[in-house]
Amino acid sequence: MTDVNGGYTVRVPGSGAEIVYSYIGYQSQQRIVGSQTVINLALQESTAEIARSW
Amino acid sequence: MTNFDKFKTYCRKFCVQTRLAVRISLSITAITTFATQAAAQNNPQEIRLDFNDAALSQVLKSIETQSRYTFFYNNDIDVTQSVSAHIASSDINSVVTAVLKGTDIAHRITDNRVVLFVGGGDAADDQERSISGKVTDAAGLPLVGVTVLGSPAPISPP
Repeated sequence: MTDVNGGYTVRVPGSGAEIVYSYIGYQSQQRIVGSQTVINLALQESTAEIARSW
Repeated sequence: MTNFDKFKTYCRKFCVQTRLAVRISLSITAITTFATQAAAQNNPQEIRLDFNDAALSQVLKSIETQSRYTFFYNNDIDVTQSVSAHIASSDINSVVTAVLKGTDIAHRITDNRVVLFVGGGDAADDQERSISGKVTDAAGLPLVGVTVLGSPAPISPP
């Protein structure tokens, strides 16, 4: 979970690992770790709408 | 029993038999259709590659169009590098291994996804490590409480 500044730290088993970022109302994203040690990203708001009930 | 009664009984029997026959043939059709579909899923199509010094991105695209697999990789992977591949196989693992032979790219297959990453065979590569970063929204404002999951295990698509 990200903190109040949006920061996070996560442990992964190796460079082939993936990190998944998910947040309600936003589109989930996946990143492959590779050689990176810092991964910053911006989530896009989900455009899916809740069906109207009227 | 009058002749008319006999006729009625005969008609009824005939009706029941016809209906039964229709039902059986319908079931057979349904079962055959189902079996064909199941067979199609269990026998993925053969992937045919015939590339000489082609860009890796082109080869990956060709595999994607011929199969149900999708490739995932980040900017560490140089997809403009040229590769050669001559293979016809329905086994995705042997196809990808053949394509990546001679490169420094390793792969991992999870469900329908083929993950590419740099540095296969390197011992340091499988070392556990910490990744940190910041998650923002499109406007650059920090997002609080985003679920961040590191995983080598299968992740079901959202």
